[in-house]
Amino acid sequence: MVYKFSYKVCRDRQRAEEALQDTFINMYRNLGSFDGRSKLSTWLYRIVANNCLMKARRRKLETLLESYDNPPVAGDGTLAQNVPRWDETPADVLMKRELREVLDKAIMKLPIDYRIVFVLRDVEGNSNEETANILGLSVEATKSRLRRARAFLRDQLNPYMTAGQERRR
Amino acid sequence: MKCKSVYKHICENLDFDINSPECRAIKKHLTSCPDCSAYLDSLKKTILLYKHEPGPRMPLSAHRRLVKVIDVAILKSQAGKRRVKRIAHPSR
Repeated sequence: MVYKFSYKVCRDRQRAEEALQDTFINMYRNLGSFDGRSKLSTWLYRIVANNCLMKARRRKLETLLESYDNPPVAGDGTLAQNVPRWDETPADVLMKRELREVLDKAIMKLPIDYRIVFVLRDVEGNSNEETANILGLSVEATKSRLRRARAFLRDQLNPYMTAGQERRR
Repeated sequence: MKCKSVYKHICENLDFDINSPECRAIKKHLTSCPDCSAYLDSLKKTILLYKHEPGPRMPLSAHRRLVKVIDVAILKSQAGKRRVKRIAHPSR
C-alpha cells in the first residue's frame, strides 16, 4: 500500500522507494507518538504524503489552476464550446500502453499539492474530511484543490480521448 | 440553472446523491444539456482511469533494501542513535 501510494504521487520508482524508506524510518521513530485517536492508515498516509511533498520540487502553478474555477461560457451562460463525448469506456482503453503514457504525463503536470489531494480522494477512496485531516487542510481547501485537479486532468486527457472521433469524422 | 454554475458543482460533487434543491436543479439541467452531461461523463471517466490504472509492484530489491534500513534503524535505536540513512537505489 505504501509503495503503490508513493508511486502514484511521485510517479517515479526511485523516488517512491526513497519515500517508502523514509516513511518506515519515520514510522519506527515516531510510533510512540501515535495516540490511536486517528486511524493508523490516516497516520501512515500523512507520513507518506509529507515525504513525497518534501521530495517534490514545488512549482507555483496556482494561478494556472485557478482558471479551472470558471468554464469558458458564452454570453447566454452556456458552455462556449461543444463538449465532445468520450465514447470509449476506461476498461476498453486502459490496457493501451499509449494511454498509460498519457495518464502519466497529465498527472505529472499537476502540481504535487493538487496531485496528493486527487490521489488520496479519488484514487485511494478517502472522503473529503479524511483527505483534509491527512494533509492538515480545511475541507473547503481540499474540495477546491480536488475540483481544480479533476478539471485539469480531464482537460489534459480530452485530446487523447476524443482523437478517435476526429479521425472518424 | 446555467452551465457556469453546473460546471463548478459537477467538478466537486460527481454523484449528486443529496436531494437538495440545488442538486435537483443540477440533475434537471444535466438531462437537458448535452454539453454539461458530456462534461460530467468525461470527469467520471478521468477518475475511473486513474483509479484503475495498474500501479507497479514493489520490486524485490526495494523490499530487501527496506528490510536492511529497518534493521539498521532498530540497531541504531538500541545504541541510542537516532540518525538512520536510507540505502540508495543502485542507479544513484
